Amino acid sequence: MRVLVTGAAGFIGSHLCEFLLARDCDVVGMDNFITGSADNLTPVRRHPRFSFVRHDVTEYVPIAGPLDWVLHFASPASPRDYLELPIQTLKVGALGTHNALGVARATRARFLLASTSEVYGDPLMHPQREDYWGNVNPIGPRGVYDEAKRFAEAMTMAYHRTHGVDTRIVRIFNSFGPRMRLNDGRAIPAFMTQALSGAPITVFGDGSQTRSFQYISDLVEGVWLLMQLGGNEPVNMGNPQEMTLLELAKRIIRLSGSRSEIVFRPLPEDDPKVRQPDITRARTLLGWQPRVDTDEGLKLTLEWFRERVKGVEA
Amino acid sequence: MIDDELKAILVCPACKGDLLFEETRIICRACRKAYPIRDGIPVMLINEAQPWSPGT
Repeated sequence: MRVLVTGAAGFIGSHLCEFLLARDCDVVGMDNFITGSADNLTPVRRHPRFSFVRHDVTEYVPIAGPLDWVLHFASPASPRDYLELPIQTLKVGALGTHNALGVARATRARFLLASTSEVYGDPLMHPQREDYWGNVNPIGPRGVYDEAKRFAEAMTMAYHRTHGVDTRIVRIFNSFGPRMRLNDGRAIPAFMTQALSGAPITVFGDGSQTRSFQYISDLVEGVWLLMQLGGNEPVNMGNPQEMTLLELAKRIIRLSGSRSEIVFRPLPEDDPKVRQPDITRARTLLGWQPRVDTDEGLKLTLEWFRERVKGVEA
Repeated sequence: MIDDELKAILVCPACKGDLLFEETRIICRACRKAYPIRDGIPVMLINEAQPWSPGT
């Protein structure tokens, strides 16, 4: 089986490539390295069933098949990245998704869109179920990502309904693990870098906003199951274990043995106040639920960050 | 080194034409572009392609 993975050099994409190779898939990775990094591909670069093309998926995807699956993970995904790359973010959600669907249609491949919990915006339903339509500010600074992914979902369903492409949509909630960029601006890399270097840990707002963090291995396993068992409706994937950002900061301090203090900074615009997946659909449809406990995942991630933070200081 | 499997499925992103694989670049004869190969990675970005003509 041959799989095309867009965004293959990203945090999630690179883990996904490793997972697929371990299950005897042939993997064609694609990335333009805007936010992805060639370093993330080091573990798979020499794998005999892995090949890689540097390409921008907002242009025509130059693969003439045959392909069995197209997994579309290309997009800037951290707020820092998409605030810096607003137009590229909108383009990869719109044109990129269109092109990725085009190659899936032409090769009769099954397609998966990596969507996001951000389609729910600052949610008025809690926890968020897939039938919730969301609360997104289309013209706010974060709207570039949220609306790109909402458009991408609409495009995916249109290709399914109009062209009969067998499509999947996974709405990915906050995920973490090794290979997140130290400076990507998200809470876990920021807190870990600060804790490990003894710098003050910056919590935005009063830290009472909540998130749910799933470990990367749970997500890639869920994607694998969704491709085989899932239907065309969107499926949430995340860890329902919800915590406040302040609690997350304290856990990271405790697990890393850090002496960092916590300092508070103003909350960014349109920052969601709560976030927790309802994963009933994934449980029912796929028999999937997260297996890695948050603290366990944090420990594994801290090990990886410890090496990197050392490198930065040296 | 670009593996044969990739060579078999890759086409020109600009014109969808067949490609000719050289040591350091990938040629599209149809629309006369040369795509670079850097660190063994084919770079299929249209704006990084060089103009190509037969004999160069």
